[in-house]
Amino acid sequence: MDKLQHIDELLKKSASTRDYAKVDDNDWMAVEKKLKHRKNRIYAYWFFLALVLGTSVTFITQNVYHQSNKGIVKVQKNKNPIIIDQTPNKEKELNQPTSGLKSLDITPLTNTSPTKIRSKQTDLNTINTNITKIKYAKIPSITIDEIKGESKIKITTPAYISKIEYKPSIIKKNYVEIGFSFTPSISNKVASENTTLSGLINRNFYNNVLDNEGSSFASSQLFSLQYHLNNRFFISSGLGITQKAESISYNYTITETPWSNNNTIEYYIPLAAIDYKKIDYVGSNSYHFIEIPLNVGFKTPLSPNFEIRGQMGASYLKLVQTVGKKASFYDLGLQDLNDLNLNQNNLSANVKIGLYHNRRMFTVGVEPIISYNLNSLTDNNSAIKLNPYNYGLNISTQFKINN
Amino acid sequence: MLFEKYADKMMAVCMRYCKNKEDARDLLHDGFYKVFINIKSFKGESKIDTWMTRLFINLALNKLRHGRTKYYHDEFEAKHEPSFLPTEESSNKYNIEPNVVLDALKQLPDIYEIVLNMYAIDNMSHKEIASELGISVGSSKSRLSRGRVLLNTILKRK
Repeated sequence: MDKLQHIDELLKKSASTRDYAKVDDNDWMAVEKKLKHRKNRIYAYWFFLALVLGTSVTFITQNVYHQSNKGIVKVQKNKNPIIIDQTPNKEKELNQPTSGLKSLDITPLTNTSPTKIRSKQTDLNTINTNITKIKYAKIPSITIDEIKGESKIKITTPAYISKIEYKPSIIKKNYVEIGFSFTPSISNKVASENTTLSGLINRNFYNNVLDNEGSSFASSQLFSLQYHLNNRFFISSGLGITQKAESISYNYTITETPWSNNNTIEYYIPLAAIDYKKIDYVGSNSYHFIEIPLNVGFKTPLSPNFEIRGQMGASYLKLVQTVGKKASFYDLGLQDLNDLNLNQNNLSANVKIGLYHNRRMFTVGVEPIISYNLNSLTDNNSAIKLNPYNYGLNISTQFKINN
Repeated sequence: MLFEKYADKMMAVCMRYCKNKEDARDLLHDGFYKVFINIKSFKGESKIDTWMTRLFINLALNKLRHGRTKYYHDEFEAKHEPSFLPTEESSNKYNIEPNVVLDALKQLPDIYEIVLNMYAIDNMSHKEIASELGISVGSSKSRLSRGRVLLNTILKRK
């Protein structure tokens, strides 16, 4: 073989002439553009973060109403005070006994549109306003969720209650929930061929590689922000970390190397025995993303304390870390995930619907969730497209900021 | 300026590790982007062009592993008829045009082409090659030998 060492010299000599490798101004402009783009991207991240924070603060501050424990509540929207008269037996408008009732139906005194009031005052008498219902009354507090059209409400207490422990005095139409959710899930992927490059898929890829990749456990943690409208809809967003994963169990030997031309493997060159490569790898691959979801939700009450909430929407997923190894579709060689050209920016669709325990200051919910990557995790230069998906159980706690 | 000084040299590296000029240009842009991002990590332990060459080679290998640049070679096909190589021993005595040699190199399977590139042109040791490619030192030597034979055969055939 020493006789062929002159080949090295020949190569070196040939490579030293660089007439074939001239660059021009366009190349520098392309590099400059990339650097500029990076700067802009950093600014964009900061801008987006500031926007989310700004929006959150605005929501919170706009929806906090003045509170009072003296029976007077100011409604921010129309600026009219609501006066609660605490004098016993002053007015009684109810046409049915109040003691021990959990739900009171009150005929509206005017023809204006129906409005709900939720109260936690059992022996609540009342009222001279356009209120259709008082539900779920309990001592000692009163919570008024919503009032339409009327500037004053008089609530009169029965004689045997000398003092109303009057707490909330919060009246609003919209409110905000902030919370935390954790989602244990099972992660897998849909694999399909990139039609333009499918000729590059190794003939042993499916048997040796894809058939030996499966689902794996994953999880997500998310800080969430929900803006509840005065109807049953709400908008949900947040910021968190999401994991997608796959289990790997490869066991094969590479004995040939593909020879390709025009995006097609034309034939396979047998390797010398010393070049055989045994691939024996068992593990779990993890893909970690920063997730920013944007969902639209709908809620339906089931009982005083329970409601069904459904949400659907999309999440922006920024790939931040990969851990593990994966076989190449072309030569079946094992590659570190960090060496793969994966799409950094991804979009996934997600749907979840579940049961929420709804308390005055917080909610606790459990809901099945499924999310599916709308774009392939691999980039356009890969012959195999991978769309990861997760299905799991979302467990969340939300605190009501201004309820 | 760094780009003006080393762009041609790095383009030559890119073209050796890519199968067409377009991919080589992409690699050049990506490589210089990385150079400027990572220039702070250059500690002056080697020459800057050596450091840059390694960075470009690593980047090229990553792309090759992903199958991004290996499948095209139309632009590198020989534009001239190569000189005749009568024997292995005397092949270097003939005046073979550089582009013919490099085109012939491109025709080798990747596993041989890369090792020849790294060993013969980029002066990397078998140990370094083995480390970069995740193969054994023996395998690196074997690929080099087989690569030389194949390249010589191609040059002779031409």
